[in-house]
Amino acid sequence: MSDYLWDKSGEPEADVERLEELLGRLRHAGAAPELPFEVGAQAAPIELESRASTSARNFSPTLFSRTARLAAAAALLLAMLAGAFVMLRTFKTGGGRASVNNETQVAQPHTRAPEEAKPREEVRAPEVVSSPPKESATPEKPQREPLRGNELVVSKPPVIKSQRREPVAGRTTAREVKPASAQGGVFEGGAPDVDSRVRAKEQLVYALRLTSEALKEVRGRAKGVAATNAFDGRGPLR
Amino acid sequence: MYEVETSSLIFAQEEREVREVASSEAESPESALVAAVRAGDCDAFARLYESFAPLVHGVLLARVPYDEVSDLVQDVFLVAFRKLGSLRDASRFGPWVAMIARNRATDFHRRKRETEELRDEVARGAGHVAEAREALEIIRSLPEAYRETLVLRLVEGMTGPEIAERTGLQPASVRVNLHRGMKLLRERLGAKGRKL
Repeated sequence: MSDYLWDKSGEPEADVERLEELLGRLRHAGAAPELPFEVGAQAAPIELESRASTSARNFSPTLFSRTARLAAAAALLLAMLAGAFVMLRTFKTGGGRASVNNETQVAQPHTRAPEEAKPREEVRAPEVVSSPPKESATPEKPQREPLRGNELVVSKPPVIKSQRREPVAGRTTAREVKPASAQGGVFEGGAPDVDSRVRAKEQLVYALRLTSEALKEVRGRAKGVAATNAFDGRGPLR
Repeated sequence: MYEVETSSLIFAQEEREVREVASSEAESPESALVAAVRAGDCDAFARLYESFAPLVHGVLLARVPYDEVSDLVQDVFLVAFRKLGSLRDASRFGPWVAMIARNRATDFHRRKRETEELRDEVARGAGHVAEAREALEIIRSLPEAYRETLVLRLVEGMTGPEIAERTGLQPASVRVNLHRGMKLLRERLGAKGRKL
């Protein structure tokens, strides 16, 4: 075994020497690269860092301030809308149980007196009308027989419901029911309906205007431009 | 009695090994250089580069085209410098940076576009350089275990013990690789009609 190939000791081998001379021209000859950063900062041993410190380092203050501003604006908007909603509800109910529209009245739970339940049935009539016209347009179809005792009848509910009921004298159907405001009536709570609706509408418009102005101001601050407050502060509240 | 003697022998051997490892780590020049670089010494980085650039160059030369090697050497050292904090045993800087170079060569082949290396005389240059690059191509056609050792020995001029020390390979393995690789290289060169 040649010692020269291993550690360059002993008698040099001709072919190895020749290859060394030939390939030695391709030997590395270059200077150390320019370091693009400070030496100590990058090459220090890695310490175990907590996630909090890492995330705090990666989170720039400008980004945080922008995010905080947007979050504050969103929170403000939500608070305003919630306030407007609560005010609306307060004006709507007027402290009592009366509601503005008929649909809400229809959707009341079944805790009414028997005489109040009748108009509710009448209100359900439009749902019945919405069933297929073929079945509703067959008046000669035999009427359903009355139930006997606890007999369970499995039939098509739409067909049964689709029977158009004859209007009973002294009752009004859902189509005939008009809002109390249109009739100039008074709600159960005692508040005038037209006034309450108008006031609620004004409250909502006011809240929306206020919110939009607040958002504009926040956006202007975020952009660094002084926001011009076009809102004169006039409110509908008198 | 026998057990006591055996255990004392084992303890003595373990202590000796621990002492040897500690002393090698403390006394090895690369450990001192790595520590200096970590402390912010730019000159230490330059010396580290001078010491290990031939190793990185040889490792890359055995795997990637000659024209690409110089840039890749710089890349490897920059990567090594950035990751120097993750090197636990400073005395193993050589094997560590050699591994970075091997990975970088693998990345190079993975990312390189479908281009053919120029094989004409313009690309190769003239005279001895062309001959050298031709010989290098033959070495690069050898099995991977042989070509890295042969390049480090014949191109970079390292001895077998130096190769073993810097790459972290066993000296016996390096010796075997050198001789088997050299035998294979002679055969390939002879087959090509090259006279050494």
